[in-house]
Amino acid sequence: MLMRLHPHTVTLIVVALSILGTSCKQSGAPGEGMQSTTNQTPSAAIAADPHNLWQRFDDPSLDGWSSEVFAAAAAAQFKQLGKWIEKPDTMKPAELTELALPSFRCGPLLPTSPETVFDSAEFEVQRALTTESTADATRFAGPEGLGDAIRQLGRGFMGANDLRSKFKIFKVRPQGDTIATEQYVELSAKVSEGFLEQHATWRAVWERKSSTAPKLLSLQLIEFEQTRSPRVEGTLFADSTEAVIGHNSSYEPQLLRGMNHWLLRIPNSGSLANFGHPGLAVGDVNGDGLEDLYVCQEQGLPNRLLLQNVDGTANEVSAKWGVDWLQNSRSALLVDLDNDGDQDLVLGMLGGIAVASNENEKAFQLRQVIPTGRDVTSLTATDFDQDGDLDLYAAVYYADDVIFSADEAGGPASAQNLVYHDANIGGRNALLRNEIAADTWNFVDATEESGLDMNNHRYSLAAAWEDFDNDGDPDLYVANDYGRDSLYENNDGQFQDIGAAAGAEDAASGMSVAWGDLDHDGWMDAYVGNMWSSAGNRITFQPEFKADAQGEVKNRLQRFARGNTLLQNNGGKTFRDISGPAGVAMGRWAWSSQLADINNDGWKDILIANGYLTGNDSGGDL
Amino acid sequence: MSRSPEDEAAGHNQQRNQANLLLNQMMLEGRSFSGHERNCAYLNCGSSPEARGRFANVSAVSGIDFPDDGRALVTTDWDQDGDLDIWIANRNAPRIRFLQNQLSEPQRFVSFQLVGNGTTVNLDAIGARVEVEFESEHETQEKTETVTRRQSVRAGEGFLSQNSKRLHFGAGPLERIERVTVYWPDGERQQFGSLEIGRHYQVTQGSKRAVVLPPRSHDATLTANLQKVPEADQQAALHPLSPLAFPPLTYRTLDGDRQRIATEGNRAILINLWASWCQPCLKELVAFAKQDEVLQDAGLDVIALNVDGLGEDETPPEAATAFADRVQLPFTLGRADATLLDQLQQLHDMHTTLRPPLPLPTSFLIGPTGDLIAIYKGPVTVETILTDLKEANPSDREERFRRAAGLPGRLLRYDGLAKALEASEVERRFQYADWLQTHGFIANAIKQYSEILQLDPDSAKAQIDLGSALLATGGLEKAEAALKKAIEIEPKSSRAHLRLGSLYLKRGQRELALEHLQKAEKLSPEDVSIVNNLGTLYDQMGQYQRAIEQFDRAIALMPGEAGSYNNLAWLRATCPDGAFRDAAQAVQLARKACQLTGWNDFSTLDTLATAYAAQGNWSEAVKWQQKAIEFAPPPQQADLKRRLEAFKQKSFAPQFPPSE
Repeated sequence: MLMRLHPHTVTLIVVALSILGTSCKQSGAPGEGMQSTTNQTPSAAIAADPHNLWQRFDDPSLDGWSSEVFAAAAAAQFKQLGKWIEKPDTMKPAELTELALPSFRCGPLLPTSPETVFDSAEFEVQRALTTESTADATRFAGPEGLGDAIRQLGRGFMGANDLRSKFKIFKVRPQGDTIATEQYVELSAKVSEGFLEQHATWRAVWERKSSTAPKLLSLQLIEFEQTRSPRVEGTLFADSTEAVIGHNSSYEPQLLRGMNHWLLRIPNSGSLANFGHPGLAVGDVNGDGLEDLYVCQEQGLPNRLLLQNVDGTANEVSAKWGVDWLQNSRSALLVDLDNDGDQDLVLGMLGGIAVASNENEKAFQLRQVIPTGRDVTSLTATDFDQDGDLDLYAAVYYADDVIFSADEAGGPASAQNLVYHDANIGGRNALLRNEIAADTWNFVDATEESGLDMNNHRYSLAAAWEDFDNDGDPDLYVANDYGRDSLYENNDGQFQDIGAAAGAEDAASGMSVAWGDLDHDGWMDAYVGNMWSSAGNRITFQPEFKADAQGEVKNRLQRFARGNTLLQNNGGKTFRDISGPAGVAMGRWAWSSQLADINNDGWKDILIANGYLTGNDSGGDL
Repeated sequence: MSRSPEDEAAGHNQQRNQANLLLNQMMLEGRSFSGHERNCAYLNCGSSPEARGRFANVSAVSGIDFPDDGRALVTTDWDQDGDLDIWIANRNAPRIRFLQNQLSEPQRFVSFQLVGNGTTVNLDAIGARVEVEFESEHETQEKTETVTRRQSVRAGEGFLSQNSKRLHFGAGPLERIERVTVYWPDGERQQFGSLEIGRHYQVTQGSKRAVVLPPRSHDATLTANLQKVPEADQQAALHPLSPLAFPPLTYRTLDGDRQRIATEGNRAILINLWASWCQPCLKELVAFAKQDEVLQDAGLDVIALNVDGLGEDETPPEAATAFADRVQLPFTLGRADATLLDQLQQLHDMHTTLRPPLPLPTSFLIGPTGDLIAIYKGPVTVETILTDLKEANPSDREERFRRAAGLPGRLLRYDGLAKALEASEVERRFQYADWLQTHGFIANAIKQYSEILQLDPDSAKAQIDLGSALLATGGLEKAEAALKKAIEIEPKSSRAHLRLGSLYLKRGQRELALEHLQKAEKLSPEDVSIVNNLGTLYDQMGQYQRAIEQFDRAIALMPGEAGSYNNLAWLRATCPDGAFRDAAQAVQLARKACQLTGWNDFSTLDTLATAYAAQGNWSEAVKWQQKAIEFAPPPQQADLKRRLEAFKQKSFAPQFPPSE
């Protein structure tokens, strides 16, 4: 058993000083420049206790956004409402009056006759838009009425014992004596006939009087969707990890431990340590017709190679194959680089790209480490010059000279000259041309000569090749954090960023990009991962937000919190952002997204891995 | 973000930066930030006109909605049963999930593995596109209808992810495949007829037929089972990557005297933190005591520092002595104070990005050469300590990297590896030297810079930092040499010119100071430190108007920089030329400087007191001077006290020197 020092005693001082140290680093060497001035001043001294400060930082009431204070109070009320939806039996009339005024009115929260818009063996989708009559809209009145409306809503989940509710307030608008909020409402559970989830948008009007415990005047259902799966035995996807790799000795000690475990034990250096960057690559490395998996791990943890057995399980063989590398790895590709019929390994790590040849489908042999921009994130391969071999492209996040200190100083946003909505001080991505000849492996940096140095100083997290204009050569989309993405059009091996002109620059927090013909029109569409933040949606639309900024800047900043983007390809010339009508923007703090037909109906669906940092506390999403 | 500049020229926004730092701090302590988020899945309802192009949220009913910190996500028909499975890698535990697709009728698909010719097309056929024309009976009109589906072979998309290169086409209710066309990246086009739904095909460029891949010899029956993540284990040992000489920290003896931890005696030291109310601590101390001989033989001294009564803890000091008397601990006992705890915490924090408060007990193991070998969070056994002592190998960087790792593995060895490891050691030493200097261990910082210069003799930054450190200790000759060397290596370093300029300023060599500060200003016109130093120089040269202009410009450049206000305030309060003296403005400026430094910085408080004195407001002058003394480090106190006495006597001499 371990004990902690009393919180709020020594801890406070500890934090205070460590932030002081951090600030010093900001301004260069300690005491930079000041000690010879008339009167010596330490370069940074933060007065108030920063531990307390960050708690205040997290407290919207002290942030100057009154709308945020209100949103926090309203969220607490919704949380209570959610508990009642989950367990209607716990509702007490007296408590209902804490939430709803006597004049409260609302219509049915569960539409009485939703329309079935999709039906298949696996999923049934029903939707309703509010076209409710006035009589309907006032069917439930007063606090008791709210209770009835909640019971009515819960009816669909009858018998469920794991009903889960979640409210996300994404709009707050004061209107005279009242405040209107809009929120997503998510409910899901296993029910007797399978699984059920509901997604609704509610409009709520609150009395403005109390900023701590606001009361509802009305609720209105704006949008409603529910999806059923008739599978009683379990969801479509089931976690079978343990069955596949649980027997390996590395499973429990390594793969069942998260980054917060390792960060206490392994010293780390460079950027992105706190993010975690466990890349994955699929390929058949031993030529047995079964897919295998390479797993990248952070500094001080060996990468893992999982070879699939005939029964679907996989054996961990990284040491045997010589690829249990401990360096700070980010991403990998399994591709045939030398056209000899086996899968070679490309590794993106802090410091550059390693390429290793597959030796008789029994081991990998390191051939070259190509120094690129150091902070390598994602890799993508294609034959860009169409000479018959695969070339590599690496996305790079931080610029080389700040890698060691940038995270320490507070990430990209702390850089003095960072323009949040259009940053141009990130790392340099690299295009590496394959010049393997016979047994001599060589990759050459072709970034500049190919034109790919255009707009090449962004915080890149991902890139993917696809022939978006159907002219027979691969073009490149690069997803960038803090600003515009790039779409490089390939003209005989020469590239030009046409992102802006093509309507594809999607200026936001680009984290990923995937291609696919989602609408079957013969042109490849792109899905770009970004961040969706309810807080960001609330704040950036307040009149006070950047009140004096140019409209263009404000729009760009507002765009940041909107979430993922579906770019529909308009016949190979331009793209149209159809994320809103397609209903696919809300992917939370999204990382990898993929387009994959999960139900074999021929239409590609969207899968999103998301979430930023989960600690021991219950702190929720943004 | 609401405080982001609108363009790069907008300058630095300190408020925003502070917000960033605080946010960062929150994350470094391990708090959630946009955590517990559930993965999403959107169903393409494209086949249904009623859906009007809108996807359906199937995150929960599909079973993909784990609340992990998801990162990479790839799709593959791993078990080859005809539907796409998912591998997800997470930041937190479990770090990996295999999500098997349990589609009830997975046979409605066709897949293609393409093989290029290996000469004009890469063997993996990356860049090839496949067009499948499906045929179906039209339900109402009773005629056949053809639909076309297209996919390309790609390698690397999403985030840190590479999907399977096999192209997987769902067929849904479509009945047969009319034709398949492959567009190879070299422009060749091939067509295939009579292919069947429910098969995996291999298509080789140039070959006339698509080959059915043999079904796998065994069915993959994999049982779903929620992964059992073990309880968090806070007990951890951290082995630093580089051998950093431990600083001469100070603790209190049980009698309350200050005692330096001596690391130069060729003995290993274990600094142990314990509290009398912490059972694991007491157990650990008893274990150390029992094996004292073993520890002595290994050349290790234990210094057990008690933390009772710190902060809000109200344990009386007798509790520690009572325990020590009862158990008869055979090693050095003492007490840690808040300063020491801060320092130990920071000596830990510089090695990792996750920095929760140190637990009790915590031990720092210092080797006989004075380098930090390990930090043990939680109890440690004598056996572990001895092993770490024996295996500590400061010279071999590769070995250190392996020892610092969480699990066994190998280094990716290549020509540049030694250099890369060296470079990261240099970065760590810079960071450490910076910390040492900030915390007053200047001699130790100087040693670090010398180590850096041994690794990288051409580092101008190391010469500058060395010069600055020497400057602070008064070693002006050596500082001058280092800074000159820096300028030799990097003639355009404004920092080097700035430091050399300030050195000459300090020495009173005003012409040389002017030369270097002007060079520095030319190289970095926006650097507030340079602008301020030049101002100070003009001030010393009696060019008060120019000095004021410099300080004004410094304030305009960075309105959040306290030093500029402080400098101007001092000039306005103490300028020998009465024409430039303005006590009221001095008070105003000094208040601003105090506000920016949080009213706890001795030099700005000293300026404020002096400004009040210049105004003849003696009570305020005395009050603030006392405050300044309260926050001043010992070497500065005498000077401040002299001034306090003067204010008490209602005496104010503009010419007296400012505190340094």
